[in-house]
Amino acid sequence: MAAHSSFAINVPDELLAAVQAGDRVAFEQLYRLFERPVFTLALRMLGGGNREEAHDVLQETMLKVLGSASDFTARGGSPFWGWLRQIAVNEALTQLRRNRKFAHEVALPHDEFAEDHGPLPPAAADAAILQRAMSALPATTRSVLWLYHAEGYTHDEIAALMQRTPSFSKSQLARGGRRLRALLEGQPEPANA
Amino acid sequence: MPDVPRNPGHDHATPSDWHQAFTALPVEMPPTDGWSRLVAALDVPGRHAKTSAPSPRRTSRLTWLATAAALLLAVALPWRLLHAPSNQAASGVPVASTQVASSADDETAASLPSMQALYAESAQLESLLAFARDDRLSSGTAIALADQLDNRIAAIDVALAQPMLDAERERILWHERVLSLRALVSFQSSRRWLAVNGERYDGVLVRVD
Repeated sequence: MAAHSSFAINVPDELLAAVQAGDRVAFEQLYRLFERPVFTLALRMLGGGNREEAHDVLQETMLKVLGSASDFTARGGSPFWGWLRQIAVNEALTQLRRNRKFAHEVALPHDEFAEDHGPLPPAAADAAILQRAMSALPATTRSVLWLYHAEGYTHDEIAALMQRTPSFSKSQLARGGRRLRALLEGQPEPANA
Repeated sequence: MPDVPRNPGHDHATPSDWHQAFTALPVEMPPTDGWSRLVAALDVPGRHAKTSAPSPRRTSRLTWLATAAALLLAVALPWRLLHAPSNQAASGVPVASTQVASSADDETAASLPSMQALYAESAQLESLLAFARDDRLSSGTAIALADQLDNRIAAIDVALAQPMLDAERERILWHERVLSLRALVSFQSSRRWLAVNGERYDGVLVRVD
């Protein structure tokens, strides 16, 4: 997992125990802790204009968290926030599938995996411009970019989430990076993107 | 104010990679009625939830208690910061501590998040603060309290800019910066929430104090 994720919130054991016991006040505290990270994740994956769908993802995520909180155990030190984030990612992907956003996106064979590690365009520092550019990407590409770069998922983990191969994740990451760079630079996309 | 990259939340330098660019994006605010809609969904008959649906009156009372608890936290944290011992010298100019870190401090510094994590959270909180802050909604008391928190952050920034600052002290200061930002964001957010609901922050302070 990434060194830092917006989900990396330490949930006190007492609060978790209260949620697992069905304490609704405790559940609201948990909701307040995670509503912004979950909503942000959903919005980034669904695209900036889909606020209502992102809210649906938030709602479904928290309902699932509540419904299965008693099943969570911190095996091997795995944090609660990681478990909750996994649910949020799955719900966002489910929403994308429901919207048929994945229907026409296929992996290109022998796609270039090489990522461009050059300096980012200055426009990448502008939040509004960057978000608009991300919204212009295909949903799958955008999701892979966000899960990899912002949330620190590995290609194997992304592949498992999306029911694809690690190669697919790598190619989406490479293509997505190039497309995003081109959008930010205001130039036509490279011919092989 | 410290130089880049010590203070990524205050400048617009081009991020060095996609990770930095993405984590610098502001956290999005969900709809304000999200919790009430969730409660409504929980109370739908047949919904598979492990909590029993409380009565509307109990829900209202629980919501009030939870809100009061959140507001108390928002007030208590800033007040604790105001009354916490400071590192200010007699001249009032904050200086980096020259005390040798105790073993307890060593453990504390070692247990803190990484510098990159602290940078990232600081930037996110700055973005959130830009959204939450609205001095048009303020009373004089609330502005004064916010100013105190701002001054604390400014003092930390001055301390971070000290030359020859060792890595451990820097990490501790950045962590303090993040904690202060969290308190300020919490305070500003609660103030906006109160204003939206037709209440004044001064009233809350009076009840708590």
